[in-house]
Amino acid sequence: MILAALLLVGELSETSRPAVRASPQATWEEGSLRVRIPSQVLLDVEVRRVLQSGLTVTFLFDFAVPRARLERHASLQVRYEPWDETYLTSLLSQGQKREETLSSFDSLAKWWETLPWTVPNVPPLEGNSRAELKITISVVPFSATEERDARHWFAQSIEEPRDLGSPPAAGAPGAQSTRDDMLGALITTAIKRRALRTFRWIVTLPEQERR
Amino acid sequence: MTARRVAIALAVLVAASLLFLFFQKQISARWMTVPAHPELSAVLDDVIEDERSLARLEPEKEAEHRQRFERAQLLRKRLEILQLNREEVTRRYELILWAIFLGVALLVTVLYLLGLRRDEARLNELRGFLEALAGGKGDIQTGERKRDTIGRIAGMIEETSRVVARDRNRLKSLEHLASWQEAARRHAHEIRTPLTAAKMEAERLADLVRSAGGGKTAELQSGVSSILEELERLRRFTREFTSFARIGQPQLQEIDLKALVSEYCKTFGSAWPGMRLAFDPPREPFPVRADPEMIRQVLVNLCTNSALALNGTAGVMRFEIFRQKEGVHLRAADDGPGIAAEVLPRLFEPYATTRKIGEGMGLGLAISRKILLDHQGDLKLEATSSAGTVFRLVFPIPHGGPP
Repeated sequence: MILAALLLVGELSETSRPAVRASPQATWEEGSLRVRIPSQVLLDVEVRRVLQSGLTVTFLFDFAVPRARLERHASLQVRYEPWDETYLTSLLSQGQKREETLSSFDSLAKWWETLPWTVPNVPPLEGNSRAELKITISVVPFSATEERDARHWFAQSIEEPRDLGSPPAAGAPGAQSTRDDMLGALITTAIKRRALRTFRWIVTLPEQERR
Repeated sequence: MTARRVAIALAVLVAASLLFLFFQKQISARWMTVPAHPELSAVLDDVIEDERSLARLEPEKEAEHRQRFERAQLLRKRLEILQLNREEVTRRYELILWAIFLGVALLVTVLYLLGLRRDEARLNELRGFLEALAGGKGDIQTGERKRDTIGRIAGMIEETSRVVARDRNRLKSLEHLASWQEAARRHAHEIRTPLTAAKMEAERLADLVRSAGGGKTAELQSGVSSILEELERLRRFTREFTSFARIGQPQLQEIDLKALVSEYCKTFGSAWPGMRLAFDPPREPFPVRADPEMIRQVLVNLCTNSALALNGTAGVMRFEIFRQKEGVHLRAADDGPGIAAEVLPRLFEPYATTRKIGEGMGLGLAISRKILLDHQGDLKLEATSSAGTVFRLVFPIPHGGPP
């Protein structure tokens, strides 16, 4: 297999923060694409901050070969455990789950670089022009469970303080609660999992090997 | 409702919303900075680190330190999530406040516009009543119950229409009486001339009979006397006519009605055998503008009628004075047999009487009402039954007097 020269077309981060300069590499391997993504994604200031906060950070990977009308998805969850100072990872790709415990951030970065991202069963690409692989990584800073917990905690924080041991106030006990619930729901649903950062690359693929 | 008013209302609504949005942004953007303050996270980081270090130093208390560590770590994570969503939460908070404000403002605007529309409809209705009033319609009932500005205007229209109706009735009565007065004046004039001539001739005839003497003198003198008596009766009849025709305009002066009635009861207390006059004078004076002589005449007429109705039996005429919205009222109530039903429709018309021929012409009530109408007041029959009859004299309140 000839290692093709990978050409970075552009790093299209949606923010104006310092760009991740290293670019992914893609190679053909028995009809599948093997992709390696640089660990600089983890070094992004925002990403590193949320990683070290102990939140469960999810990296959502999207691989797309437009000419082949092919899309593949994978996800990686990383959670820092500050008591043990370890990083717990959970990789979900091609229907398989793989979990690792890494002892430091450096180990995590190294492990990240070894991850063999695969876009399997790419059909023969017709035409003369070079094919492209679009890679998108969305960094979601916390999990759905953490989202629920934060919403619940925030809703309790903004409710009217009351002694849980005392009976409800006379008058309209249900009305106050319903109003609090409604206002709480309206405000706390603003806490939502959304991508903290999004990294995009377009990689020009090497010539496809003949089968 | 004009489009201009709607446009102004909407412009005020938009301006108020924008102002609210602007000012609440100044406030709400700040309150979220408190839980997301970096110092909080830094302190929590220290706590987390400290607890972990302490657990190493005190292995026997590891569980305790671990628990504290977990709590701090949980709070640290929650604050981090809040920090990550700070802008969204702030925006949502602003949106909720703004939506509430906008909802309330919209509701107020809609209610205001509906109120405008309703007021416009009410004004249109009042315009119709005003046109009816201008057309001379009396006793208008607008049906307005509210006491706002439009309701008060409606009340004024009703009040004005009542005054119009009252004045029209008064005018009609006065015109009616005036025509009767004119007829009485003409009849009196036509009768008086031949009556005077006949009387003179009868007197001359009596003188001739006296001077001539003879066997038939006494008989002739008796005949002449009878003629003169009848002529005298005719003269009295004509004088009544004349007095009705010549009711003058009252010489109004400010008097205390209470004093007038008290004095009247003293003076005329024994004028009608069997009938007693009763009056319990109130403490305060009741000033009215009236001609005291004429009012006395009215009271005499009423008492005379009552005395005739009592027909020699004992009875009482009670007077009572009180004040009501439209004036000072003098009530005259007897305990006689009441007024015959067939007379009631024409009670205040001249010659309405149930008395026998020669016992009165039925001019008393007509004259009395004319007097009261000339005082800008009225004479009304309040009630009549077998238990008695009640008349009411209404006097307008003099300007500057108590309401």
